[in-house]
Amino acid sequence: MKDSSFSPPFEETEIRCPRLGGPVTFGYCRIERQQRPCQRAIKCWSGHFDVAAFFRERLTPDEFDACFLEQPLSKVVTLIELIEQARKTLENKQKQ
Amino acid sequence: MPVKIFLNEDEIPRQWYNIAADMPNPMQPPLHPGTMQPVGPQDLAPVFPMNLIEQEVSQERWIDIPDEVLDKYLIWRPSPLYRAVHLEKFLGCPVKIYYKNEGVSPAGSHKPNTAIPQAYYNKVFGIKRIATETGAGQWGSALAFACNQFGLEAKVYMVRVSYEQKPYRRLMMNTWGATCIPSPSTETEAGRKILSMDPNSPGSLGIAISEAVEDAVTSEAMGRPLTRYSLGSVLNHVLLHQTVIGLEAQKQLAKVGDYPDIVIGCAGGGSNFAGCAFPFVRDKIAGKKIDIIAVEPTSCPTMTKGRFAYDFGDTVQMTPLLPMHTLGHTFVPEPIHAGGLRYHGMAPLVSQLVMDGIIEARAVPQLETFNAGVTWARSEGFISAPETNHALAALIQEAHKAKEEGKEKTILVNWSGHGLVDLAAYDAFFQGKLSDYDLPQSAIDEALKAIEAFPKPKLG
Repeated sequence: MKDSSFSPPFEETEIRCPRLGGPVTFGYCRIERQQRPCQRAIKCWSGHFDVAAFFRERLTPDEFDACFLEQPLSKVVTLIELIEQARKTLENKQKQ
Repeated sequence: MPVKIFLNEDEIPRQWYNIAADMPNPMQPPLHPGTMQPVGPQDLAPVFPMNLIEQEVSQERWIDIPDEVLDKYLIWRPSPLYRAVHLEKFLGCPVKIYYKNEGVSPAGSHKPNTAIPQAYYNKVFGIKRIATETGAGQWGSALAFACNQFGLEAKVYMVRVSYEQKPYRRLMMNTWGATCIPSPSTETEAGRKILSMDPNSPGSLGIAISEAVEDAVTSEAMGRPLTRYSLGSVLNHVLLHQTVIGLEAQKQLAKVGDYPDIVIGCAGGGSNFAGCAFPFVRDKIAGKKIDIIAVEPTSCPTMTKGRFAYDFGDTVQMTPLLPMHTLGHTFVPEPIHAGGLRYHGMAPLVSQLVMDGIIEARAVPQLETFNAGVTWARSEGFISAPETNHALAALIQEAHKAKEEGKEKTILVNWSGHGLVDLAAYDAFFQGKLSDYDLPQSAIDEALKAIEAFPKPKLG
């Protein structure tokens, strides 16, 4: 991560998140994926400030591409990964 | 001319329509991330009952709706088809507008159309409890209602930021007997892990899904009633259940001897859109001339302020030059704006049909959607869910386009839900807290310099 001197409207502006169905601030969108920005962050916030420039300042080109340009996993694949995670959790619990 | 077109209860569709049977380009099964083999039914068995998995992978065109599901559907279905006579008069355009009112369900949206069959199929499979995630609570409340109808326990992991902001749908869930807790929670390993790193985590849909899946997968070992997971959008079986909307609409339109030139629905995960549109997509695949429009949100000025020009589809200039509305490849990565339905968890079936050119994806900015919602409320009377307003904005666009072209059009829109639990969003709109970015012309001119040397596509 690079430093950024750019200051977006973190908490004073709310928009409706199309995924949650309720209001959120940019402070939420920039960490939505466990400290990584939501994939829709640029699409949703470009109407308010130069959000692409903000992320280009803070992310390396590879990080930027991974956050915004890579196709997300399909829902089924995501579910299978979560099933595997849950199984591992269970195995660890049973070992203890 | 009737304002409302009803079906009798015995005219309710008795089968759902499965578009997988008619896709011009068949969907490829997703690959298991571990084995890289196509995902099979057993891979999904820890989270879904096998009867729903069978629907997920089915290629049968028509799937019978069980009587027990029909009995529950009859609580609010068949839903009325309205002729929007007051909006037509207000717009003064040469259009007939019909809308399918899915706001009449107990949960106030289209979501019970799949919640009811999902609860039923879980029950007949021997499942006692369903876990799910929800954002602002639309899906959670629908599933809570459905589980209550079939005597199942419902556990809803609600994204904390929404849980704290929006009590009403949580209270709806409680009223229907569901347990709704904020996510991340201390009840799962996934939740505890997040809280250990950030005790004040606002949560996210991703975290809430992780918790609900873990709840289901570990239920037996942890001594909970046998639990499965439920999802309210995106998956094939969810879209299948929603087709009851479009199938009813076709029957209702036939009663008045009409058929749409245009079908419009808002598209988040794609389920309400698909539910209304897929039966008409079937007609289009068979040769019917019909425009089908999926509407999503945008705040980007590209379509209105960009130039139609050849440009690279990427910032590193590796793609061929493509004709597109663009602000220049140096401005914002084009994939974020173009074909957006493919980039945020849209149903694969809908995405494929967009790629195939059968469905048009359209993006509408925030203020236009609320203006459309207010116009609708002040003509037709109903207050729409903010998501539904996206469809209404596109509807108004199409009505004006018909006037400009001097063509008579018949438009069907899916009115997917009411906004009576979303009035805070209207409050923000009325107080001027919502805005669309007015990109300065100087910034556009600067961005467009990057493509000045490229050839210009022919227009018209």
